[in-house]
Amino acid sequence: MEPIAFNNISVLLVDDNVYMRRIIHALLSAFGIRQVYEADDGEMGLDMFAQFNPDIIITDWSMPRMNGIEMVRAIRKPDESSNPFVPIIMLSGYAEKRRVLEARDAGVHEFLCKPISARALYLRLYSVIAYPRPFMKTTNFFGPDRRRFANPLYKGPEKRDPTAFLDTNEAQRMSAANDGGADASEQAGSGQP
Amino acid sequence: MSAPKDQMTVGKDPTSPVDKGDCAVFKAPDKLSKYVDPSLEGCPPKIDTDAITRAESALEELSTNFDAWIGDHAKQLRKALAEALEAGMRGEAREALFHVAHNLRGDSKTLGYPVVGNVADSLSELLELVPEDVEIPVALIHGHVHAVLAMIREEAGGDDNTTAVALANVLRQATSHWLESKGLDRGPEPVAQAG
Repeated sequence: MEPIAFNNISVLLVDDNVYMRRIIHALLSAFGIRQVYEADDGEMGLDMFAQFNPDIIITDWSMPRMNGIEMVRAIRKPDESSNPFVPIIMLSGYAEKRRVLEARDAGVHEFLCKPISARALYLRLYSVIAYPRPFMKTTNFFGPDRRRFANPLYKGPEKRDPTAFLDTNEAQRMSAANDGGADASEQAGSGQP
Repeated sequence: MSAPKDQMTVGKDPTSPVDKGDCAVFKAPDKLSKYVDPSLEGCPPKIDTDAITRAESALEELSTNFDAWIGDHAKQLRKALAEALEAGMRGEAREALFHVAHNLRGDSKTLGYPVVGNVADSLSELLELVPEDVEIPVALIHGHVHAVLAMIREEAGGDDNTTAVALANVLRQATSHWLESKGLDRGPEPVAQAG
């Protein structure tokens, strides 16, 4: 069984911190990745993304001018982006759960909290290459499937249903206005993509 | 029974709009599978422990620079504080101070100064949570910045340094109490990092 051949993979690394870029670049080189492009904020990252079409993006969150989340949202616009499907790994000093969820909802594949380790970075790269995920498009989301697994027993409300988390009266009113009164409970729940 | 309003379809063109409540699923163009050994036929590739070991060695080699790098962070922090104070803790200067503190939060543990990272974390939260029109006590900001500078100067940012750990805890508690007094919630503690 052969490991992943990293040597021809190109990576765009976006981080305003030059020392973190040096660390990540050294780790990527040690994995065998030879083509690493570096940008120091989201704006420059977008320019380099359009110019070089990298296989994978690794980005910081908090950066001056355009931050990592804004950059991810720009990349995940199918009608404007040169590759809205590109795998994105977010590397951040933020570690709160709400941040992880916000990054996921912006369309990142993997989230990696600093401090970084060689193993953690390798496993995130391995994950996006070995386990490509389908993409989902709803009215307010385009990105990799947010479910890690589909629960066939799930019967609850769907996240993409705009009425799902409103109170009952409000939901019924909106539902009736939209489609003549379909009952949310009749939907087959398959998770909350 | 009315038809389900929630439709999941296999999409062909990601630029096509979807209706409210619908969800289109796309198989992403697979640029990366060519880097996986085709003989595996769907089995996951081997995890390359040699590559991880090489990367750990590369990090070890880089570590000879870490004291210089953390020293550079200290210089940036001192400069950013002076500029932010001069600007009345507002605008771009305040944002620059936040970015320096946030970078320290992310870097310090890797650079061997975990307690500096804890203090930088507290300072970053303070600058991020408090709106500009609420005045942060200067002593609280000074306390954080000078604790960081002292820990770096004295090479005392390891978590085996009880004085540094105690100082970081005092600053964190003082910050929490002050934020609470202003009705600002620090929120739950960070999630543990796996991997």
